[in-house]
Amino acid sequence: MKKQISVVAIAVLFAVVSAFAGKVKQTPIQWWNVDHPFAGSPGIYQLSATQIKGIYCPGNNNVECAYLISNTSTIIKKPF
Amino acid sequence: MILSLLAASVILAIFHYGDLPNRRKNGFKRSYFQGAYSGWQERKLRDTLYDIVGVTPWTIYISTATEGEVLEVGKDLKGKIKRIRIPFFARWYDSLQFSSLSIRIDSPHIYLFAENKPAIVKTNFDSTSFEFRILPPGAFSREVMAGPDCFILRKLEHRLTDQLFVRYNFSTGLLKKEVNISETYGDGGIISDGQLHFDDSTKKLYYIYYYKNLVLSFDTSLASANKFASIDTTTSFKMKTGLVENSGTRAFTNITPANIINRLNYVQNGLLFNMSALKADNETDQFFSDHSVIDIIDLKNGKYLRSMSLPLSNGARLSQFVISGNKLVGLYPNSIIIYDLSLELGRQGQ
Repeated sequence: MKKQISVVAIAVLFAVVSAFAGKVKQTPIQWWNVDHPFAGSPGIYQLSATQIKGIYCPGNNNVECAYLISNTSTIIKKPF
Repeated sequence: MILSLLAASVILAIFHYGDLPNRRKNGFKRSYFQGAYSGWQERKLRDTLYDIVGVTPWTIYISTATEGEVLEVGKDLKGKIKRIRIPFFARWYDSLQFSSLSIRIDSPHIYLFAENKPAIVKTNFDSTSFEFRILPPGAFSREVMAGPDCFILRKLEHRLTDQLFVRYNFSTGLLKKEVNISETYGDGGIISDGQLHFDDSTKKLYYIYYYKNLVLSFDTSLASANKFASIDTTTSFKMKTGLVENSGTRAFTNITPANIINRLNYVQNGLLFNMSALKADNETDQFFSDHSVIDIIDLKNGKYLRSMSLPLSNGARLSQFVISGNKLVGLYPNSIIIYDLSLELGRQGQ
């Protein structure tokens, strides 16, 4: 029974994600090349801007999300 | 469609196999105060409430989703709520809209911290006074007032690509940097981000890391720091940060999920009130998800006293809180709740 519920839940999630993806697919995904990771293992990472700003900076605190070092240096905080 | 399914699968896999803190034992237990609070009052509001920006013995100031607006609420939570437009807010608000303008009210003064400018503006409710100071280059991310005209900031040091604590005197413009307090990682201060507090009773500053269980305690001389731990066992960072680049724009950010350990905190009378994001091994999932759990630690010796739990308000945990006297002023997305704390709270566990 539990397994059936899980399968249904996953199917619903797929449907929601697909519908959502369909709505927003006009927005071009910006891919970020990640190199020289600090405080982490070396390697090349590819993450979308949405992943960086959204998935990897969750919560309702005003935590520091990013530090932009191009042109003028700017600290970006996740709004409350 | 295939891409959508693939994306969903990746997300599900991350949640299923990922090292999510509360899906495994966290290696610590909590004990709870009995009767930590004796009563509470609630005021529901239509506004989306963001931050407690000032507290006096009679009044609470709360910023809202409306930029530049602050609510003045009596501490009895009754009576009319006054809406205040913060003078000069629009002029200093960061055009990037990244909430880099912080407000603090020390009535009758209002301070605006333009963190990326970097600048501090001092004004008052009726705009009859206006003073502002441009600080030396390097944005700051945290700020507290530690005495008349004395601000302690967590500020970028370009030489290190990281942030240090500095003391800034608003009258003289003198800026003094810390000596050997911060751990630096060269990532713009992201991995070592946290919350900074000044405790007027001990005249000390406390910095609580978001991503590991480290608490720093130091005074305004910024000469050295004592180190304490929150009660969990997260002694090292689980999050990783990295340098990212896109179309000429470079930024440091986190490249793995940001699992916050210490979500919210406040310090009063040498006691740390820390709302942890980690479930203890002797708590059920249901209990932890239905409460805001606050651990209380005596910062004189780093000893864990006990914890207190507060119920959800309209399905939400605390989004901000301060301790004022024997009251806990709790902010929720659409309400304020004031809890009357037990006066012996700090001594029960000793």
